Amino acid sequence: MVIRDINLALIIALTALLLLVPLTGDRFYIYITSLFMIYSLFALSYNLLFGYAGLLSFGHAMFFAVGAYTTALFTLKVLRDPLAGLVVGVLSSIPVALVVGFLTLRHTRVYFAILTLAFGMLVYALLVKWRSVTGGTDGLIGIPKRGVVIDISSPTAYYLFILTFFTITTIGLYLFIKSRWGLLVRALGANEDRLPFTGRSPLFIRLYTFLVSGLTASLSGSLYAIFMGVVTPDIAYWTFSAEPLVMTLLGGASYYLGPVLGAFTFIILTTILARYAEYWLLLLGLAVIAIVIGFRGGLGGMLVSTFYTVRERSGVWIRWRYSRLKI
Amino acid sequence: MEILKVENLSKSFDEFKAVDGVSFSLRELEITALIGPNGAGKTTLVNLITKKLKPDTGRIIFRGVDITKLSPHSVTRLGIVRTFQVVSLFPTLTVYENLKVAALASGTSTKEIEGIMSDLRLEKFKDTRVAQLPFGLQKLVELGIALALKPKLLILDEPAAGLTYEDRKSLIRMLKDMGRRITLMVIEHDMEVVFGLADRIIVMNKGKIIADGKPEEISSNKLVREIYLGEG
Repeated sequence: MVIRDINLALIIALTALLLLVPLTGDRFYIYITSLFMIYSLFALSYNLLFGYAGLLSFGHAMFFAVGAYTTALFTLKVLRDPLAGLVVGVLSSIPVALVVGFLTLRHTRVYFAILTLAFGMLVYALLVKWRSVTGGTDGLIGIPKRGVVIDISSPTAYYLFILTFFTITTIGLYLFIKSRWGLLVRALGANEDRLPFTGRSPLFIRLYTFLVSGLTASLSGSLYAIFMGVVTPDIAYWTFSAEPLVMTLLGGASYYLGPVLGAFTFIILTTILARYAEYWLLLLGLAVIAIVIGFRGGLGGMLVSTFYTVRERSGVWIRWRYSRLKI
Repeated sequence: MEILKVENLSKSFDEFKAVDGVSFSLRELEITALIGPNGAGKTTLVNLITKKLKPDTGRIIFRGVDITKLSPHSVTRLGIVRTFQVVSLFPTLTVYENLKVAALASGTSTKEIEGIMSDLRLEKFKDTRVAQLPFGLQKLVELGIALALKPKLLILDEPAAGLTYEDRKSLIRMLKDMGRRITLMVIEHDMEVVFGLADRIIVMNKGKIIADGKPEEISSNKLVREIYLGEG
């Protein structure tokens, strides 16, 4: 079988590469790559709203937090099983997406951004104040990796658990964007005002995009809870909503895998800078500004333009038999 | 048979009456041109019919259904389709994808989309993003979207604007042919297009209809010549 779709080919190649990580046996690599996959899913879910549907959200962390806390509460109080906790955590985002979406999606642009920020902070306040359930600022600890259905307590097992969901979701989201439903999402982002005159309600498209995005973000939150074993309200704070935006801008919002590249860069930058520099946040900010201003289309855009420049200058015409990278 | 009936339609923007008590009806498979000087209220009238704007007063009946309070997408699904004065497409999508977005609402098949692209000579641009196309081709894509929606009434807002002489000629031929299957309403400034195409002409000025009739009646109408053609 020959895969002609460049994005699918890249996802499969990335999965193959990620499968090699546990072979190193290095816990740090396993830890950092697991975090990369979780953040990638979070950033991909964000880019569905931002890059494809043209909706700038400042409250996306609410889905991450709802997924993480529901998984934590379910596994600690109902059934000690990470898989069951994950399923419940993901499903918990449905009512949140529908209610918040219904109340915010009639508005667009800055109004939508501010409303999502408000709802995000509402979730944060709830997590901090409702101590008896959420543990307040201490959060919830002891989220199990070993359960009645599955046991992912070893680093390799939880790594493969995360990788499985990472691959399935990355392919699933891509197929969604390529589907007729995804075409309407891309049309919404391209020219929202035109959609009603092609017989489509923009509100309905926004709502199902918000739902799919929320489901994916809560999946990343649930995986995070299981992976870390602890959840605190920080993951609902508005600054955490800005992280997938930064990752998306770093990697390139107009490329499907841009957010994945952005998440990788973000994690590398934060890990290296935090280790060696005192004012690492300042350096991170400068690095983000340099990449966003310096490379149109983020690092994804830079890689693509480098490919074309090399091809042109080398005089070697590489036959391109793949689909377009940009979708 | 009557396809559209507009009754006493009005729309004001603050003190300015853009459309002022307009009433008319369109007959099925008739090509009607809506003309008038700039600011006459033509585009506002189209915006009211296609629900881009809400009227202050009046009713719009389409094929016996009162559509006055419907949303733009519902009206489009009923069969009133429009193009825009300033080309309005999905710039990051390809030509095929632009037509496909429309086809998803109307049930137009892939084969039919390919047929539309072939009729408009857009096949070789099928996979090109429309933002990369020249203006004339973008106009054709706009028409392609409209056709993919399987319109019963197609309202074209200045379809010939910005086109070359040859393109205008070919547009007239295309629209004449289209007029045998679809009721057309064309807003146009180009009198060559208007008189070469229309079975009936409605003339607007200052938000009101000042003349309505066959092209020969309009061309000899003294008031029209005074107001619109600038003859004293």
